[in-house]
Amino acid sequence: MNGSTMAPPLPGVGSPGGFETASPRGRSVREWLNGPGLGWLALIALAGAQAFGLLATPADRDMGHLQKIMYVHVPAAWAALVAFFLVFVWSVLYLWRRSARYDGLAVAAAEAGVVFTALTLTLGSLWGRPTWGVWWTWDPRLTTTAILLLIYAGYLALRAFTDEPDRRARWSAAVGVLGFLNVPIVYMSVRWWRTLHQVQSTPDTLEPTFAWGLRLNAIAFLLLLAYFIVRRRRVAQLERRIDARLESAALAGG
Amino acid sequence: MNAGRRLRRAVLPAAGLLVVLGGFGYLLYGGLESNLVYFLTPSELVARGAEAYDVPLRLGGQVMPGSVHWDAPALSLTFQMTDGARAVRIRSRGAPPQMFREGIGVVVEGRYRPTGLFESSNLMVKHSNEYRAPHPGERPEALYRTLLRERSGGE
Amino acid sequence: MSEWGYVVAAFGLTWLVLLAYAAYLWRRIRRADALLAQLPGAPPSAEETLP
Repeated sequence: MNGSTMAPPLPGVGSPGGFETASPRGRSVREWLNGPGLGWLALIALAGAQAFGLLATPADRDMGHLQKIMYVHVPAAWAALVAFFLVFVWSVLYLWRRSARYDGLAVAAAEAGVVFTALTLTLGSLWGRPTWGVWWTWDPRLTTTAILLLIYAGYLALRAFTDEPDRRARWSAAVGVLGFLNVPIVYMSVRWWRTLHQVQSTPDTLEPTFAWGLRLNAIAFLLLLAYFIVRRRRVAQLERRIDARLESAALAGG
Repeated sequence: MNAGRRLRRAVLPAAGLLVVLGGFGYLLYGGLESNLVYFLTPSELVARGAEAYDVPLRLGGQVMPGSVHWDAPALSLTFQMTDGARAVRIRSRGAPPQMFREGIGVVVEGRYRPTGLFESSNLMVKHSNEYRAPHPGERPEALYRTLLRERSGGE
Repeated sequence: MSEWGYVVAAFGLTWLVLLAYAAYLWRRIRRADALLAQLPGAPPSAEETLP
């Protein structure tokens, strides 16, 4: 019943970080990514960026302090769109290389993307009530974002329903590629169609300190996204390893 | 392999994929023209003529300066909404959102009556993508109070 | 709710959601680690015991 005689280290199963580099420097980067360092860095960045946004930026002429919700709503939306872009890239890489490693990365990004999209919608609702006058309206930006959330929630549900790892990885990679079609639609919806949601602000339409509040929070949110992906892909890797052990045990036992 | 397992393995993923693709098809071809017109402009509303009467719809435009009247005892707000070419008279019940003021973009939900009055059941304020700090010496809270005074100053 | 009420709610919710998801991931990793340790098979190599 010794697994080591049954199964030589499977590709993508044996290395904790998955960032397979032989160099000592690559190894230390991998160790750092898997340790608590990235999480603490992201949390400190978030606390700092939010302190700056809450304490160091003035009120907006029209909105007063409500403008500050921008510092969490917009970076959450950016983090979600970046996450879904990564799902797309890793899904393409999976379909090309058929390595379980890319499947683990794709599901990690998808789950983080769902968290950030749900957060974006809720924060937008909290911003919309006092400024627009409504918690929700079916304008194209809000509707396409709700569809975005459904697509990737569907992606996760599809995975929960499919047991066989290769089939699950293939199907979810297909959804990861096709689902990405909606991302540019969400982004462009405020320009293509009439919406209640305003179009994207640019540095020209933002008070410079507001733009800084936004940038700092965006950095913190992207660090958090990176942290979530690293942790979630660790889960995927451990689960693959558990499956491999169970399989080799069953083979040895039967 | 029993039927339940086969369902989980083949039918559900296929159904999920169909839903995703169907959603896109609908969004891109079916819904684009009709459902994605979130609001009509006053010009489009007037051009529709009698067809636009008494049906629920959304209307969007700017609050015409000098046209706002707030009847506090009756909680009734009236103003002209314009798109630059045409103007429609709007009546809305209840206090408007805090940011409501002359010149700002608004979207109203309600019905257009043959009398030419649009009865709004829901008034939403559309903010621009501009965010600015108050001018020196100006406090946003004070700005709000001025706006509120202006709004209720009508009667 | 006041202006600051919405702002505090938004920032508070952000922390709540992000910390809850981080905690959920920690728990999944801890559980998977525990399960892996119970399973028969190769003893964990030095690689596997990295933090």
